[in-house]
Amino acid sequence: MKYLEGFLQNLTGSIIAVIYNMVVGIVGRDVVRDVKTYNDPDYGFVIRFDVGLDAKETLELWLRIAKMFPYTRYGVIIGFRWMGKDNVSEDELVSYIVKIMVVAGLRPLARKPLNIVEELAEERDKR
Amino acid sequence: MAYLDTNVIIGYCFLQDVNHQNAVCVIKQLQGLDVERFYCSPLTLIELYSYISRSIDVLELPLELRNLIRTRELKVRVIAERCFLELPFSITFISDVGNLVDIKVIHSLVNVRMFHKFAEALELAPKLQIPSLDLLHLMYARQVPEHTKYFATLDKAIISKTEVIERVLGIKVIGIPFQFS
Repeated sequence: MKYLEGFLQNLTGSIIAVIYNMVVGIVGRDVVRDVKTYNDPDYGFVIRFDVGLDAKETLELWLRIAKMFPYTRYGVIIGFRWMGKDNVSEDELVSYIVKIMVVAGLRPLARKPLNIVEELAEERDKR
Repeated sequence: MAYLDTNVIIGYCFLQDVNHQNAVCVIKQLQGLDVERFYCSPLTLIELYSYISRSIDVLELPLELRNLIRTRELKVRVIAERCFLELPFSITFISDVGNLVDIKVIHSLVNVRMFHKFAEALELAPKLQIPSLDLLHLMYARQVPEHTKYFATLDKAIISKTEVIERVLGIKVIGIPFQFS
């Protein structure tokens, strides 16, 4: 068990180092201020980087990293939070979130089984 | 061209929907038919938004993204937009066009002015004998310019009317054959 914990810690450290280098490569300087990890009960392991950029720069960076490190391939969600200006509108935020989900391969999940055919049949008055 | 019913779009997007595999089959059938353009209508958007809004408490986004979304309205928008982008092709939106039309179908109702899609639906309702919202979806599908028209759906009521829809509207229904009890 201890061996497994050690292995996972090393793995997390390696992923953080890879992402950190990607960030430096993209931005051209060290902007990472903090790194946190946590478990999302629905999607799994998350690594979040706090960066000294404004919202727009951070979301652009996030989009590029999500493309290079997709959830569908690695099973890890990489997240970012900006420490600078909050300079995106609601529309832009929605657009970035959707694009990040697409390139990372993240889908919305349902907590219980859905049945759209039955639901719409009810709505279309056919039950 | 193919018009996508709302149930195909949502069934395809959500892996947890019991119709997911059927939606995947329908999409594959369309791809096998070399369909080049895919359409949806304002009615699709209304059904999609309505469904997602009613199901919003059981639908989840990754925490990392959810924490950035401050309102229920934005969560609905994100999920709706994500549904469209899950499809393996882009969708062309059939916008509402045309003016209101004067119609006289019930003599005791005077000065009846109606959105032209509703007027078309009224005219075709006796021939097609299908529920109102299905009828409206078909009116939108009829509007697209391409000669060959497909209507992709998982709706049993529409699938059961395949023959009459093709005869009256020239639209081929693509769906999964259901076991009717």
